Amino acid sequence: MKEIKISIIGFGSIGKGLVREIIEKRDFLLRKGYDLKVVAIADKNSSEIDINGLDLANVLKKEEYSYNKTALDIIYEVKQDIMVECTPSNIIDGNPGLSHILAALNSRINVVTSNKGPFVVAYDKIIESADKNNVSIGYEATVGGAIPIINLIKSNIRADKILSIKGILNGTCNYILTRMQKEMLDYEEALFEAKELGIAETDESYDVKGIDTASKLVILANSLMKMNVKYTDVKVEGITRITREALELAEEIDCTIKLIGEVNKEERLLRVAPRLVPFNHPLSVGGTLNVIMLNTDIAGEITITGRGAGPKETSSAILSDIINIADERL
Amino acid sequence: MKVKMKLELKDEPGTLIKALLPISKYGGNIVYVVHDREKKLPNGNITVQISIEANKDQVREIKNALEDEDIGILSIDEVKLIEDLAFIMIGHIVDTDIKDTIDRVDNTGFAEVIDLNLKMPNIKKESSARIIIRATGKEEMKKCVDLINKIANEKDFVLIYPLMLETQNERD
Ligand SMILES: NC(=O)c1ccc[n+]([C@@H]2O[C@H](COP(=O)([O-])OP(=O)(O)OC[C@H]3O[C@@H](n4cnc5c(N)ncnc54)[C@H](OP(=O)(O)O)[C@@H]3O)[C@@H](O)[C@H]2O)c1
Repeated sequence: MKEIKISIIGFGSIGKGLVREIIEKRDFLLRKGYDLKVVAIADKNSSEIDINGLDLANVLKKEEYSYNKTALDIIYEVKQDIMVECTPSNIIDGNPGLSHILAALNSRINVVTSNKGPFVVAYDKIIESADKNNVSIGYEATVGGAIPIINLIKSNIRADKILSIKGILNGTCNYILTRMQKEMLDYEEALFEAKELGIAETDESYDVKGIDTASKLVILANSLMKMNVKYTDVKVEGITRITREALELAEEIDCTIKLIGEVNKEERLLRVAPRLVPFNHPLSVGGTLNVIMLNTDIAGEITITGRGAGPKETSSAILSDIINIADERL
Repeated sequence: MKVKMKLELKDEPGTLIKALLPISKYGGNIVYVVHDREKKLPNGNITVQISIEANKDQVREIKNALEDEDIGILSIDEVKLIEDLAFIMIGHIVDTDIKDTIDRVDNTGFAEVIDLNLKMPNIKKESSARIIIRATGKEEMKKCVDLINKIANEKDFVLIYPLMLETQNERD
């Protein structure tokens, strides 16, 4: 039996969703030989700590936590194998996530994260710190939610060079465009519906302006294609000006409109833009689905689709990173 | 020699015959004709592939005769003579002088707007257009796309290009 002690820094929808999955999967994981213990959780101002493992069902019920220790206090003081970082994404300076991740790595704690910000601003620095300290960092959850794109490329198509990646990387935009086309809604109407259903955030701009898609492209380009690019290298156009009439015009020629993120190594091209996609093309997936199409030198085209966001789906990626690290390091 | 031609025809009765006549007239021997009415070009026309046996002079004469009949030759032996691109544009298309937009493409000499489909919901809102551009080859189409990008930048249009810019002649 492997004991895995983790802390969860950032206890919002992802952090709590992860705890729910850990509770749900406890017996399954024990049978496989993994004893997952959450020794600390922290939100912005407070925390809950138990070095022998928290009573998770109880933690979920609480509205206030017992301690005022900060994320950094927990990283420095609580003995743990893996720090799971789930604070809000900030692509300007990466913080607070970046400082948490670097502190953990430099304290020889492995890291798993769903937070895009640190990887968009400091990919190289993070990887260097992990290597230098001989610990691992898992970031599958930063791109494509439940779609195992990063681990797929890192552990399966290992002899291939990735020439280009194209895809739908934001479920909110995909939902809005799908509804506009299917129900002949205006952009504002579809956005309103997405908010009502909790698919879009209260502040939707990150998604609909293409910023989220562009951030994910930067992570893919740097980590899977060794392109060494920054957010400002991406040409970004969102979906805010797409009209219902444009979707009608597209439909008349058997196409739909999708917000596509595209990176091409040879052309050094990074672009997020609405594009005409034929209905019968593999990238033409609807609703909140995400889809990623790789083009590699040996395998050619590979397309993978799945749920791109949501606490449960993202937990799938986080848990698999945790187990990979347990196998490798613990 | 054997030559493969891809022609563009209107989806109307009698157009195929019109395309085949010049071939026999100039002594070409038709090997096969593939007529796919399902696969339409963005402008609604259909394509037909014809393989013929003919010598160089005959091919030249056939080509001229087809052009006189106004039949579009998309390619001869896989060499494309025509590139089509269908894309969508959103913005204040009419107010920003739609004629100027079209003229600038047409005035290149190597590209022209062959179809424009405009939808205007109401005066305040932005309108949307589907435009088909025809250019005389791949390089020319690239230049034309650069020009369209420039115009869009000046007039603040959103451009929605096909996922694959190259595969526009046939939407397959
Ligand atoms: N939601 C998704 O479907 C999804 C999918 C993939 C990836 N992600 C990424 O996962 C991360 C978390 O997303 P989320 O939806 O869970 O966000 P969220 O609901 O806003 O939760 C963020 C959490 O981080 C805490 N936090 C903020 N600053 C902190 C600090 N300095 N120290 C410790 N905790 C701090 C917040 O605490 P307070 O409540 O006290 O402010 C809150 O508990 C984001 O980076 C997001 O981009 C989300």
